[in-house]
Amino acid sequence: MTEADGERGVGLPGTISQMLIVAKYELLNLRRSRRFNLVLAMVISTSAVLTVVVGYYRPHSFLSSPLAFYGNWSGLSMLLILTFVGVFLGGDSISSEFQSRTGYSMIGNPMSRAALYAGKFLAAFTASVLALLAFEIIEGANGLFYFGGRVPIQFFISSGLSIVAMLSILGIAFFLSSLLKNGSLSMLIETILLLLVFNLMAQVIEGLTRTQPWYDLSYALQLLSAVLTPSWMSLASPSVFEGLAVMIGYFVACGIAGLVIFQRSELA
Amino acid sequence: MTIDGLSLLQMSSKYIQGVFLLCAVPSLEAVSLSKRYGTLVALASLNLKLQGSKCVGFLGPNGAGKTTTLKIFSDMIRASEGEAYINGVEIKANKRLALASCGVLVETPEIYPALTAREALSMFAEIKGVPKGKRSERVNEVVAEVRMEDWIDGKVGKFSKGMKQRINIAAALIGDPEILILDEPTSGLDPRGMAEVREILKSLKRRNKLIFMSSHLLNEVTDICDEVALINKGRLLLYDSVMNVVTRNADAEVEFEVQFSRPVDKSAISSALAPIKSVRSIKEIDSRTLSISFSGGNSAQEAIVSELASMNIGLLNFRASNSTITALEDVYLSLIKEVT
Repeated sequence: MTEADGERGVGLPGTISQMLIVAKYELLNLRRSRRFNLVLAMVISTSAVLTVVVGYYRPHSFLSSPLAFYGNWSGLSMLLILTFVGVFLGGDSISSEFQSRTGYSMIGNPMSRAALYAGKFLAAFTASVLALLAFEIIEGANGLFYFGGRVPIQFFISSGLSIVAMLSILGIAFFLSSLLKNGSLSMLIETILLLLVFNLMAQVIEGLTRTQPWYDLSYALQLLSAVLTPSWMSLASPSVFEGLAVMIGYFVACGIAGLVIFQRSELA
Repeated sequence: MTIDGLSLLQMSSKYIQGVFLLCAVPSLEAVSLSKRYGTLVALASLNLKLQGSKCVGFLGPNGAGKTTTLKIFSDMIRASEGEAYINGVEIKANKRLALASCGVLVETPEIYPALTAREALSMFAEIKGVPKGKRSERVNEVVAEVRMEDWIDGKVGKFSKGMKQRINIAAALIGDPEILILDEPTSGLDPRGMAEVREILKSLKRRNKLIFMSSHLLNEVTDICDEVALINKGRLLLYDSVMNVVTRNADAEVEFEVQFSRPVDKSAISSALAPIKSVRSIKEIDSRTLSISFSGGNSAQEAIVSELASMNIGLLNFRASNSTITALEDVYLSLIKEVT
């Protein structure tokens, strides 16, 4: 390589900068898409239904204490919200590069595939957190209406954990999306996996071996509602450490596996 | 000793850098490049070196390996064996540096549909490191080049196939690349769009760029390209100048249409060209246009143009007529047939 060849690369942003550029424009694209509006509408309507039901029926299970309120509100819908937000906003992120042919305009640039993958992940994560935030804001506003400023610390812990859970769900989404190259199929499989397979697997393993499947994601996700119970500190499982470790483990393992697959994928 | 704050050493270093840049001609090189899909051989040990500012047409029938080659050069697929170098940098070893001075348009890509043309081009400009202060100006320049000024703030997802292809061409040009890798760039365009893209490519050729473009259209290749590489069944059959290809048989005759700005005297021109033995015939199409048939390739063409220019009779244009395209087509078909 001559010095002139080196000069040719001068001015090219670094991989991190290119990842942020991809994330910025991908987020802009996502924010304007019908899909993001649909996800937001779904989150808001779920929250609206809960607001009306709690306001009209005044259920004792909700209104007995601030912790009961937040525990029931999140416990009822958080896993569904997380799953649908993750699947809709990240479920076909990588497969769409092949299926919608956007990869043909992105991959031929002087940019590593890792920057493209990570940029898309960051955009999907940001959009998902925005949707989650909408859910948490409506929940918080209802809590303020019924209990004033008495917001239990567990609400904030659960909110923080839901963001980590979103990372793990998107990690799985990106892995399947890299693997399958078909958007609808990867979204369908991810939904089935998160809502059915993980739960079923946890129950079967627990039933057969009489041991708690700490490595199962659905088991770790129980932490989100578990922390919103009065005895959460003394709960045997999952502990906050276990739950966090498993969620982060899924995020890292699936994220890396998805990236390796994407780097080897061909736009044939 | 310093001059303008620069020491002699710094000045020498800058001078050497400058010399290197001047000497660095754009290049693309395939070394024993192969690609297999199971038992199917898409590319079989392709060796091809393109160097300097020119336009090289990549011709071949469907499934010949054209797009496969271009995809390997743009990191869309990986070679089973061999190496692909851009400006001396192997694409697998350092993709970022290899593609740093490259504009790529392979097949018919889609751009994120909710972005406007301006936003999409800004994204590519940022990725390619166009300085912030020049980005907006550069976007406007390339949009003007592909004649999409009226739609610059329209969403790409709403564009027709032809409009998308123009934006794709603009995206390939945004970093002012030294090398352009284009896979059937006029695909999807209407006849006017095709003509406009060809004009763009011709103007790029004049701006010291290496253009490597695949095409099915022989007239496009004869119109734009200086050289042609012919491939079939993954093997390179021929790489030569267009003129040498069409005159590769000693007797091969080509026909050029010559236009003048004012009426000309055919007999005077016939007399002037008489010493050039390879001129076979001169026909008058109208008072300002002649058709000259000759053999002998580039040297004969050079002699004829030189003679006509020296006559100072308003020589405007000297271009291949349909018979040149036919000659290329004959060579193309005979080589493809030989391999089949």
